[in-house]
Order: sequence, then structure tokens, then C-alpha cells
Amino acid sequence: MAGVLLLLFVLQFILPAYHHSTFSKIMVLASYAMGFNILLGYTGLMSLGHAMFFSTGMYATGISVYHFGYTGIPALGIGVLCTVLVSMLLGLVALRTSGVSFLIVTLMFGQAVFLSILYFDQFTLGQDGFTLTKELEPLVLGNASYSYTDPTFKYNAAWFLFALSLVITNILILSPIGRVLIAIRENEERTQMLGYNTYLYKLFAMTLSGALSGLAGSVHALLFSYVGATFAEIHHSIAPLLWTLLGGVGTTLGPLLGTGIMHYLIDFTSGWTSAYLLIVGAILVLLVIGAPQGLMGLVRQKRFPWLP
Amino acid sequence: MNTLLKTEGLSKHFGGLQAVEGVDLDLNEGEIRAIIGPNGAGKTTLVSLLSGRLRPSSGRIHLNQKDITSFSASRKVQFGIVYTFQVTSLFFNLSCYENVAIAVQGCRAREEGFLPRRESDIRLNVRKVLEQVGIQENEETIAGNLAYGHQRLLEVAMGLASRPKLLILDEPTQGLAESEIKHFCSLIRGLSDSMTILLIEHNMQVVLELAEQITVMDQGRILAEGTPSEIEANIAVQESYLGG
Repeated sequence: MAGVLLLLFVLQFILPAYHHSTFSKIMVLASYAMGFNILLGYTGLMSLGHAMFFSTGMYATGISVYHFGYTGIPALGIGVLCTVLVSMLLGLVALRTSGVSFLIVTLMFGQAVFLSILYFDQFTLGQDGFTLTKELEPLVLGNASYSYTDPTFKYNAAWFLFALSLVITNILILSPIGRVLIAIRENEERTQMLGYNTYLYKLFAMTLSGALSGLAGSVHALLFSYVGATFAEIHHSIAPLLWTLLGGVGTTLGPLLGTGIMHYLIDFTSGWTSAYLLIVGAILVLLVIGAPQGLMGLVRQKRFPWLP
Repeated sequence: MNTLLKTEGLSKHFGGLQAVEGVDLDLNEGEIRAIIGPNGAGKTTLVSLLSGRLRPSSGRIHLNQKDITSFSASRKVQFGIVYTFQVTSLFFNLSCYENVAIAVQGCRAREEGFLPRRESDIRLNVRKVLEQVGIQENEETIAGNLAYGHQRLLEVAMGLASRPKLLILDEPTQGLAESEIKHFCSLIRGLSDSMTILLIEHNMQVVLELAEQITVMDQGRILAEGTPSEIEANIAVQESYLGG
């Protein structure tokens, strides 16, 4: 894990400009997928509404900057606070269901958030969204001042976010709480019959998952200076599911791997043909058949059973 | 002797079917009680009511004079009623160690009010319980790969790790070999000093060997109650269950 973080940190000095910025993006989106993975991979709950957390973070931060003139860090705090609130409220409702019903309930609430963004267009500027380029003041640390859109700053901020998400995930799954979450994933009824109030644990997982996804959304808004409704759409809820499945459900590094591969896959294939999604789809189907536990899951199964 | 558990008029209806009907059951502290009866007599339904997996249609359940009728399954475990499943229910993808550790951790959390931090503390308790049931060599084995008899023992180990006041065993010897049953009986007898045991069992040899009191159920009602010798002598029972 430390090796991966070090590698990503060093890569910024080696990568050409284009890949440099792509990697910043991948690390932010991978953090989003890691938030998602806490719920799917370690608690066994599949949500189809995670874009609502990402976009809540994104819009809360974006609106704080755009309309209320906050600087980056307080806006980030507001973003996280709002997602904690939203994910906890959603958890209180959605966790009364399970399985397919849970899927549908999260999907519906995700759509509700998307439609709200379109509806309250005096704040959100509807489908088009808004940019923060003019409004966002540089981050001042001591005597130095950094622009959020500066490539070096962007890369390191994205790296820091990714490292934070990775550390939080690791601490969680090695903690007693993580043990209970995994128990719920494996056999919820048995976990109840061992005296655990599984509802509370699932609520905690949901809130943490939402908070991490929302944090990624907030950081995305700041680093890429754009807030838009596409990030609340259903396909942006499905994306972390695909990334996580590809990289390995219930592995800490799977989301990064999945996000990276998917990004480059789309990048390369869309260079050849406009039907690139067909190719991406076919490759995904093959991967799911060949390695249903995802790439990191495969690595864990074949070589390194100790991988978290 | 103190009464540990007491039910009053406990009933459960599924639609028109009366699975359990007006059961008054008294369990004393430290006794081994067997419930016998033909299939469909309501034995499993009754213990499901006691353990909170099902909510009763009417009637009350008291544990140490406290009304626990409406408690959820997880809260009943917290008050000491622990159920081991008739159909083996484990964390099949996790090791035996993890299976028991989840139970130990839950128990420690109840006693101390927060989740334990120190793994060494958990490990000590896990090993103790695994040794108690005799599967300590399989600590690292994935539960799903265990032999069936060992899975049953692991199930009991998870029950013990929860430190029950009342341990409910639902057909624990079903599918076990003769030698395994013997080991199992001596294990259960050893436990009765520290807890009350409620046993649902079809194997009459096991019942007669272990039980101090036997409750006979038929069609959701209690038919007879008494010591093993009294029950053996009860002709009505012999006709309905032992096959006369």
C-alpha cells in the first residue's frame, strides 16, 4: 500500500503533461470509487445512487464558492458536512430495505437529487452548471499561495485525497467495526444473532461511504473548477460500480486499478472509433467472465492471499 | 432454584396455522431441558420466539423477571439468550478464527460498552472457545471447507463465545456420526455448570442422556413435562412420539 502511494507520488515527476493531468483525475475518481467500495465491497450493500453523494459534495462546495465567496478549505468542509447529512438521512430510509429494493431506493433518491439540481437552477445553473475559475481564490499556506488549477498542485492534492481515502479504508477494515461490516456482508442474520444491531453498523458504513464519495466530489469541484449536472446523472452512479467490479470488489486497491484501466480503455478506444463503448463493453464482459472477483481479487486469490 | 426464563401463554400464528399455542414454559437456572415432539410440533417456532427471530402473536416472555417479549433478536442476545441454528449458519467464507472472533468481539463490546481494540485479548478468548469444543487445530481453516461435524461444533463455539445465560441448541446432533455425538454430549454436560441449556433433539438417546427435564410438544401445545423417567413412563407420549 505504501509502495503504491510512493509510486503515484513519484510518477508526477516522470509523466508527460497529458498523463499527468489524467492521473490527477483518476486519483480523485478512484477516491469516489473507494467510498462506494466501503458499502459494496465491505458491507455487501449495492447502491445505485452514489452520484447523489458525489454531486452533493460537488454542489455544496461549488455553490459556497460561487454564490457565497467562500475560499477552498471552508467550502470543502461544507461539502463534507452536507454529504454526511445526506448519506445519513438516506441511510435512515434506505437501510430499511435490502437487496434489490435497496438498489431501487438508492436509484430513486439519486434521480431525485439530479432533478433537484435541474429544478433549482437559480443556484445550480441547471444542466450547464458553472465554473469556479474566477471565483475561487488561491489556497494560502503560510507565505506561499497555490492556485487550485495549477497542475502540480492539482496532482498533489489529488494524491493527498487518494492517500487519505486509502488510509481510512485500511483503518476501517482492520478495525473491530470493519470485522462486523464484513460479517454483515457474509451473513447478516447470523451477525444479528451474535448480538449486533446490524442496522446501526450499516448506517455507519453508509455515512462513511457517502462522506468519502462527497469529499471526492468537493475536491473534484475545486481542482477541475467545474460543477455540472452530469455528475449527478445515473451513469455517474454506475461508473464507480464498474470501476470497483473491474478492479476488485472488497479490495482496497481495486478501485484505483479499475478506475485507471477504465479511463485509459475509453481513452484509447475512443481514438479509433466512435463505437468505443461497444469495445469497452465487450472487454468488460470478458473480464467479468474470466475474473468475476475483479483484477485485484484475482491477484489476491492467486498470489497474495494476505491482501486487504 | 431460580427461574431463568418464563413464558406465559406464548402463541404464534401463521395465517390460519397455529404453530405455537398457549405455551407456559419455566426454565430453571443451570438445567438442561430437552424439547421433543414430532415434526411440525412447533419446537423450532417456539425457540425462534424465545430468541427473537420471530415475534409472538400473543403471550409474554420473561428473563429473570424482566419482560423481554418485544426485544429484537440482537437485543435478546445482549441479554444472554443465544441461539444456534438448526441449519448451520456460519460465515462460510471466513476462517474459524474470524467466525468466533466476531462473536467474542460482540460479547466483549456488551460487557465493556465499546468495541475492543486489542486483538490479543480477542485471540485469547477465541482460542479458549475453540479448544473447549475441540477444533483448535482448524483455527485457520475457512469455515466452508470444514467437515460437517466440525461446522456444527463451530456453530456451538460461536454460541459459547457469546457467553449465554441460556443457550438454545436446535437439533445439534443432526447429521453427526456416532463418535461425534458422544463428544458432543460430554461437551454439553460440561457446559451446564455455567449456563442453562435448551435442547431440541430427535435423537432419544441424546435426550435421555443429557436432559434433566423433558418437555413434550405436539401441535403447538405442551403435551407433557417431567424427568426422563417420568416421560418414558408416560404412555400417552409413547403413543404420540416414541411410536408406542
